[in-house]
Order: sequence, then structure tokens, then C-alpha cells
Amino acid sequence: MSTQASTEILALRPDVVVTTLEREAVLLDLETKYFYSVNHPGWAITQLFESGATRIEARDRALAWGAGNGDLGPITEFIERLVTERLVTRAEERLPGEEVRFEGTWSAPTLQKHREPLQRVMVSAFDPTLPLAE
Amino acid sequence: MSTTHAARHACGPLDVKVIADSDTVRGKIMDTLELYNVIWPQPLSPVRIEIREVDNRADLGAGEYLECARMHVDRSLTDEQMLEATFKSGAVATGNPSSGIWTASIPRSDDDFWTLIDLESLVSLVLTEGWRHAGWIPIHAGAVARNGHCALLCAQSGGGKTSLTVALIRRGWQTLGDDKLLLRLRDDGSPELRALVHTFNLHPRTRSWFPEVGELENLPVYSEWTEKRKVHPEDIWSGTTLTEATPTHLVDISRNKSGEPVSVERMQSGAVLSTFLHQTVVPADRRKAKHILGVVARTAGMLEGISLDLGDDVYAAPDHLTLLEDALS
Repeated sequence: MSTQASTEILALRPDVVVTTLEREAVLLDLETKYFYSVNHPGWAITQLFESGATRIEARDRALAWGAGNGDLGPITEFIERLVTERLVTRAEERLPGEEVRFEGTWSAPTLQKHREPLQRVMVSAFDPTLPLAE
Repeated sequence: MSTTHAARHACGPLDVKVIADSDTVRGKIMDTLELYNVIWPQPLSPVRIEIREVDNRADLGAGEYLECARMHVDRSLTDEQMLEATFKSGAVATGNPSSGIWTASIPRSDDDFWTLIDLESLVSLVLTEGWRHAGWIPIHAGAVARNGHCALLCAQSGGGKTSLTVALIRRGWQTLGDDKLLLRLRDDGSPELRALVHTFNLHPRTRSWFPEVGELENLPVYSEWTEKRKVHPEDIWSGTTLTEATPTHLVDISRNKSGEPVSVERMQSGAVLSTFLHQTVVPADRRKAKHILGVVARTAGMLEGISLDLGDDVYAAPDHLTLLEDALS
């Protein structure tokens, strides 16, 4: 990875919405209609990108939260998946945000992409199923 | 427009007033609204739909907020609180989900078949937005309950929700409906389901399994698109309808995959979330999508998921459903 890529600011795309559950979070991309589950460490890292962070900053924060040097591979892989899925994209500047905390034992961050995206075109405002041809 | 051309009907938590000069148009909308026949406690939130006939036709919009088969919905360019729905028939409607006030213009035409079909889509939009504003999330699923357990029945239209509901009613279950429900989280975080429709759409051939439904083919067909007939379950199975429940299970129904009359498997939590999220419409609006995602994901986390595959002969023998009932208990 180039130095430039490591230091560029990445931020969660505005049309990705998130809900947090007890030990994980769910991300929904309103553009692609795909949704994703991230585990507790994954959510901690993802939160850094709500206000904007570089790859290096995200890895440093994970180390401060209890990740070891041996965990850097999965952390890098997780961040690159966020980039590949276009959940985070390059940003020009950071936004004000709250301090992100992580409590608990560190484990490899995971991002599970659910196989079936939500329908783009549906029967009606109530019925989300695929319409039949007229 | 004179209010003598007005009619009203309660649809769940909404009190909907319809104003239209045309008896045909007003009648079509009222027919659609009257499908919602479960009485909710007062107070209800007011909603108003006013329809005018005009000589011009509107073009379809981009559908960036929501894209349906015959309706595209976009945010108004002049007021982001307002939604603008355009229809393939050339009708157009604008409304503010917060105030519940909607105005529609429909093209004056001798052949109004598609315009009347599009009015159903308009009603669906107005109600869905109204329910969301009242704090409820529309869920396209059936629900049955017994002994403190309540199962959401999830399948595509025509996927067997109604037949399974009837089969379970015959085994002592009650129902909140076979197709349309509302969901919210209570103050304590627990999910609450409410009924909207206590009418089933049953195909005449189901009589071979459930003879007490009678000769359904003698009832009027209610839609151009289906052979199904409207049945009031209380008329056949008295005391079987419920108005509210706390969901505990989710049943994802498939047909003829296993080769067995019935096959039951536990679902992983990710599959429960995925199935449940596919039962509701999520518009491309950050605030609304976030709320829907939050309620659905939290509820999914509290549900036990069951993947249920039904063979063609499943209802031929009553005991075939014991496997499902064991999983639901």
C-alpha cells in the first residue's frame, strides 16, 4: 500500500446507514441495497470512519484498544473490505465526531455481507417483493 | 372542492379522509382503504387525500426515494419534506408525510383502468408514510400466536403464508393477519406487533385441505390479478383473531425444496435478520432507513428463526405440522 493511501482520509459514505446492537452493528448501503453485519471490534473501527480517519490512524487506535501486532493483518483486511465494498470512500476533510471507545477483549474484526440485497424495485410502498411483469 | 364528495375510513392508527369529485375514483380509494378492518384505539392521526382530475399527464420521475412497479417516488425539488409520486398512468401526487396532507392529479380519461390501479399504489404510499410517521413500521408478513409464542410467517406473495395460517388456526393458533402487520418497539425495548387486516385471501382450491371454508368460487373475485377470494376468518373459525402480540419466532417459508411434506431447520441469526429485513420497504432516506433498520435489527435479534419447507401434501395429514409446532414451543 502506498504512503498516500495510508494517509488519505477515509469516511463512511453518506448513504450508508448504521444501527448498533449489543455487540455488533448492521450497515445498510442505500445505494446498492446490500447490508452488512460487523462484529464488536469491526464496529469500533467503522465508527472511526464516521468522522473520518486514515488507515494508519485506524490501525493505531486498534492497537491502543488491545489488538496485538499479530492482529494487524485482519485489521488491514477489514479496512480494505470497507473500501472495496465502497462503504467508506476518500474524504477531503474530517467531520466533528465523538470519541470512539472500545471495551472488551479484542478479536479479529469481521464484515459479513448478506447475500441478498434488498429489492431496488418493489410491488408497492408496502410490499417489498419483486413485482410481476404486467 | 365540496366536502360532500368526501369519505373517511380508519386504517390502523390513521383516520383517512378522501376527497374526490369522481364517485368512481372515491369509490376505488375507499375500496382499498376498507381492506384495513381492524379497529385501533383512539386517538388516530389524521390523513387527507384530495384527488383532482386534470387534462394533462405527468412524466415518471426518477424514483430515487422509492421505485415501485408503477410508481416512482422522489423528494420534491422545492421542499424536501414533501414527496412527489409519479405513476405510469400519468397521475401525480404530492404529500407531506408529517402533516398527512396529500394532493393527487389524475388524467381525465374514458379508459381509467390503469389510473384506478395506480390509485392503489398511491394509497399504499400514503398509508405507509402515515404509519411510519405514527411510529410504526409496515411488515409484509403473517403472524400466528399460541401460549405466549408468536411467529412471524414470511414468504413472497403466493408463497403459502395464508394456507399455513389457516392450517395452524385449525390446530388452535390465533392470528394477527396473513399479510400486513405493523411493528414498533415498546418503551422497554420489546417488539410489539399490531394487526391491520382481519381478512384472508384464499384460493378456492384450499377447500380440499380446509373443507369448512366452503365453496369459495361462489364468492366474488376481488382483483384482476388473482383467483383468491376474501374470507373473514372469524366467520369460519370464531375467536381466532388477535389485535396485538409480542413476536418470539420468525418462520421463513419455502416450497418443495426438501422433498418431504415438512422440513424444519433452525436459522442462524444473520439469516433471521436478512429474512426479516426483506419483509419491509426501506426508502432511500437516511433518517427513515436508520429508524427502520434499527427496529428490524433489534427485533430480529430477539427472534428465534425457523426455516420451514412445505411440500405439496403438507396439509393432507394434520400431524405434518407437529414438527413446526415443536420448534415454535
